[in-house]
Amino acid sequence: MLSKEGADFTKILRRYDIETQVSMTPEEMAKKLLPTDEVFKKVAEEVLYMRFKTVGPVVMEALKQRNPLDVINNGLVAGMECVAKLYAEHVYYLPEIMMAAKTMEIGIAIAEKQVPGGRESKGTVVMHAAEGDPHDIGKNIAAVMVRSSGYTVVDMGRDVPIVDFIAKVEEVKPLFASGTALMTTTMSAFPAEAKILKEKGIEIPLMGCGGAVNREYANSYDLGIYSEKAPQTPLIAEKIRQGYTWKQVRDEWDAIVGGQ
Amino acid sequence: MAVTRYTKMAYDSADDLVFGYSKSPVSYGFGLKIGAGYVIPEINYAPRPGTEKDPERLRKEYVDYISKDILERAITVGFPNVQLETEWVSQMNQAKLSAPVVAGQQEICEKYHEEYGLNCGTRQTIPDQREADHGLRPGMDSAHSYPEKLFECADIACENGCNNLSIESVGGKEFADYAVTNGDIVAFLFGVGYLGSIDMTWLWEQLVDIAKKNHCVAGGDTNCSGANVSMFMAGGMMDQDVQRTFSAVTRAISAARTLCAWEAGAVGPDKDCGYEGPIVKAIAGKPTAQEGKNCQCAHCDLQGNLIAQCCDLWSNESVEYHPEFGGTSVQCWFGSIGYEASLMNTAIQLKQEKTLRDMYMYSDRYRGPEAYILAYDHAYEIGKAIAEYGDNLYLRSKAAGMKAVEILLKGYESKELGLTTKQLETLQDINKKLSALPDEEDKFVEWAIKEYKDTVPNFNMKNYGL
Amino acid sequence: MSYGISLDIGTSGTRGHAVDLSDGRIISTSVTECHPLPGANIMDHLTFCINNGVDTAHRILMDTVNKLIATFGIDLKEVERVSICGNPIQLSLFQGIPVDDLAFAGENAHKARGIVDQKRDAGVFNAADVGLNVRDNCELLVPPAIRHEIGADALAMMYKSGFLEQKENCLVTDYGTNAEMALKIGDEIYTGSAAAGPAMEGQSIKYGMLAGPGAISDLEYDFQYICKVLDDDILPQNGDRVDFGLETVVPEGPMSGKAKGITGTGVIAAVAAAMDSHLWRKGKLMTSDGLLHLQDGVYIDSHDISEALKAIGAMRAGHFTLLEHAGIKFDELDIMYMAGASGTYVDAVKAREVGLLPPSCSTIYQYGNTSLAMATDILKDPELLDELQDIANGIRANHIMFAGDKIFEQIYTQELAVCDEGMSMEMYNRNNALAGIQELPRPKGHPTVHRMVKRDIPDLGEKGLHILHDIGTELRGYMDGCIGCKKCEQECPEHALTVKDDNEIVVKTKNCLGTACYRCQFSCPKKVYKYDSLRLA
Repeated sequence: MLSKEGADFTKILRRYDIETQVSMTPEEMAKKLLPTDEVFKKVAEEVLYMRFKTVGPVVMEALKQRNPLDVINNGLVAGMECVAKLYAEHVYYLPEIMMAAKTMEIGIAIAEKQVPGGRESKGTVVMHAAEGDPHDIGKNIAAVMVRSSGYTVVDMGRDVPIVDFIAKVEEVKPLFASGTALMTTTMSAFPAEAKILKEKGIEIPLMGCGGAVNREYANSYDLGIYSEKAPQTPLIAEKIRQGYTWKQVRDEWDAIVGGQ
Repeated sequence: MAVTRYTKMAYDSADDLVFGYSKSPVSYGFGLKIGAGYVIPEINYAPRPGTEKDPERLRKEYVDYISKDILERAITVGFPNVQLETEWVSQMNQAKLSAPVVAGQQEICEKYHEEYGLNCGTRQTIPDQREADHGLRPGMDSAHSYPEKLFECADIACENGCNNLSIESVGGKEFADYAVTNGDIVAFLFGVGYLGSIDMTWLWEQLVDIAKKNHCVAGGDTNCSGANVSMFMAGGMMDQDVQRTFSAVTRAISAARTLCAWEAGAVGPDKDCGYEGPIVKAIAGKPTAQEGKNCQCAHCDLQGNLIAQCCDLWSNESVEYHPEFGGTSVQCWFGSIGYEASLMNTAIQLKQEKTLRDMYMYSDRYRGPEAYILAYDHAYEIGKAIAEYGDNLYLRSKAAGMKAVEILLKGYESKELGLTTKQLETLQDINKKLSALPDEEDKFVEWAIKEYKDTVPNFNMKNYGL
Repeated sequence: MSYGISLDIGTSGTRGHAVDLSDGRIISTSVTECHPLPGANIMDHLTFCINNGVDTAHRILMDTVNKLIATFGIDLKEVERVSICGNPIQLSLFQGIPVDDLAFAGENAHKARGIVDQKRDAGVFNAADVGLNVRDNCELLVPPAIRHEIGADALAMMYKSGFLEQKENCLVTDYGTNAEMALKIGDEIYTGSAAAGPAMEGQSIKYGMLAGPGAISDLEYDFQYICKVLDDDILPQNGDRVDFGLETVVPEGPMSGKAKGITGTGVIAAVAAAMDSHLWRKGKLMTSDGLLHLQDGVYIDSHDISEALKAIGAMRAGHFTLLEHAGIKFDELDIMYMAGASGTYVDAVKAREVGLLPPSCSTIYQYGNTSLAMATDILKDPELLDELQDIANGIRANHIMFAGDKIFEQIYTQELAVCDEGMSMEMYNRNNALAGIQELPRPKGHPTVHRMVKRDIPDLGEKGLHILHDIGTELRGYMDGCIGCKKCEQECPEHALTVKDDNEIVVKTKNCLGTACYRCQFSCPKKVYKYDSLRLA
């Protein structure tokens, strides 16, 4: 092997990841973010620290002292919001999001049973990976994130035929639908689906995502909107819930995914 | 075909690993000799969306446009060798779409070989559309019969004149997806290192037979569906979804799986997207295809130069067919890989190949954890760890992972390799988890089944014949 | 004891059984290494007959046959009957019947030369009369020819293979030096006979040899090729692993270091491998030294491949011609029967790959030596002769004389261009299309191969096989004006000729290439050498 003696590797590469890393620990950051109420804080911490094995008893305990909707919104969801902030700050990463979401969902399932008439969903979202496309890891991640933001997700899986997708949308009347494609040969399903929806007068946004899809492509057909990364999807969903049309989402896309 | 596990290294020392040479070269197609003293560019491409709707349009796209453009460019620039790789789009699981493409490519290769003496040939990479929830073995997937279709695709490819049969098999993918998104290295070890190896062995015993029957070379596989998912999610310097120490360890484990295709009788070269190539080549001595700096059309990685260190084929990964200023996209990217191969071959002819290899390697050695463990000296060490436990799929995967951890920790401690706090924490966590695993396969498997039965979606032991 | 002898008189050699007539058991088997007459094919033999007289040819052949039957290990005085089979020319040579009706084709030629057509029906003769060393009154049973040009060997191949009973379109070929072939479409049978030359038997190939210990008989694909070498029991075993692309030869199996030559089937395998590896380009082997190295120094060169391809080309042109005359397309022909030693041992898939059988055939039956088998049947049951005569009379045969056939000529010209000049198959088809001939498809899929026998001669008998190497017939003579310069001796490519001290010329007939060569005569500086004046010693 050649000798590297005297070689200055900073002339070759720069480790931005090390240079810009945030030195705060989750615990330090969490102090500023967690609820002040001790009961809610305890629940939120379960989510924040991804204790999916103990979240059940902690939620049961909280339910004795607080009403179930508050336990959900001020405890479990608040904890998840902390997780989202830590993720944005590069303190937490995807595995933490996934596990925290799992923890939260366990908690919600328990608390929900005590909400008279059940908990209100923010809306239904239909998600699928395109016909012929076996890649669905991105869709699965997005589904967890959307679900943990309070939406009901109808996950149709992968390699979903266009007709099945249309039928499902007609059946559940979602707030919006999303499709994932990792192959340029399968993403053509989205404009085809959008066209049929439009013909049927269903003017919901159809989000195109996945490695093969870029923003330009997703915006190239009516109804189409884009989401580049799974964590952007709840931000976009929130705007749609507020009444944004697919055109408005497109117009303000950078601001929306920028968290504004 | 009997399965022969590797328990010895093909190379006596890491320093013998160099591009263009492999211990067991392979010849096929129209004069192609892989690993026989020079590097061959391997160009991969995708048809334009929409062309797959009609068999004649698809054939035209692949044969009259893509293949012809490439072969023509080889003559224009004076490249002596080229391998075409067709990664089948999913629709090609129907013979009416795929058979004309394969036969057509064979014909046009023959034409250029006859006319100009150009050494050329095709690798057909058939799609593995199997889904864990429906079943990975024949008879299980009543919804789409994907396992059956996989073997049909192999028949179609081989019967129509494919020169190198390859695949990116998905065994263990349901675990890889779970492991990567949940940061669970043990799930990766069990799903990819153990179950994935069982699947790949089973699969390749049959693919080798199909290939042999048709006088087609059985090439190899990759852990694209596992370690690459991990690597791409780990992403670049500022992406943090998956820690790059995590993806580095998954890469090491994936080598234990990719090896299985060769152990089941395939002879190489393996698939370009298997970045574990340096490790498996060090163990088996069979030729490897790699991709890096000249595959920016498809994706960006953090070892673009390093990964060329011991390749036998040099690939662009994949590019969609479209016009560029310098010709069609396939011609431009073929020029890019062709000249890179030319540089490597010049180094060989001027007896400077080890110098160039080291330059490639040092360029990326400290760029990140994955590059660090793939540097040929480290790749060799991981190979040795695998070969030491070669007979046991579990222990060798574990050994690969542990060795990668050891190399990374040592690199960090000696201040050779920088790590972020989070990367280090993740690495220490992996170390703790792997160290705690039992030494007995039975015990581990029994535990893992219980542990993942309810947590890993679509986990079904029947998929692995267990 | 009462014995019988059955004989197959082939163009490349004679094979025979000694049979115990009391129970029909085969006692022993003997074969010659080659034909005693100069030359390597039927045309050479005919020319020899025309120039040197049928009687000379007959005596040379009988000399060999007598040497052969002496090796059976039975008391020849107790031989009660002898049965024979073979093509009309060989049977005529055996019986001493004129062959000029076979040497010249066409009524006009016959009329001009005053040639009388010989009757070649089934018959019983006296074996001693034809010069066989058996007791007087020993019967000689001769099976019928189907028609004048379609001999008993063709009948044997159709009768013994199951071809005659097949209802579907089918083709049968006896893969020998002279390849008899028949195509059956409904009740119509189209026959022909292609002079394939000796390459099929491994002759005219530099390292060619008959099947025996040390012969490379096949190449098995294992991503590289493993040489299959015949061991002492004539069974194929692994030898070396060769890679023609990488040009490597590595020991692999027990027969490494033990190869001496290559059989006809081995040559076919080598041709298939050269094609498969795309190493045959523009009529040349594209390896660095132009050779295809097998193991232990045995190799195949471009000339060998070309010779083999010519033999294959003749058969393919024959098949093609039959199909065209019958008016059917390749894809209407699915069933193939292969007979003869080469037809038995050759890897049928490789044979189809190189063109020895039509690319469309997906059901292939491989039989052994049907000629010897039928002769043996007749020997055991002489009444079979009448039955065979009935069958022969009932066959509606259309014989196509390939020599002079326009279609054959067109296709064979293409074949020669392919093997000598490296013409592409694309061009081959384009030219045929211009001549209004169907396209030759590429082989597809995997044919089902039924190997009906283990060896070409399934039963060798308790005393086993004897190979007669030294036939020992010689032609001798003095040339008027010979100066003893030995130029002829030096020129002889087969080292068949020696000039004695007293200037006597001695030619070993089995080695002599005959009329195809004549280099001895052409080389004579005094122009006094006359090959045809040589006489049997």
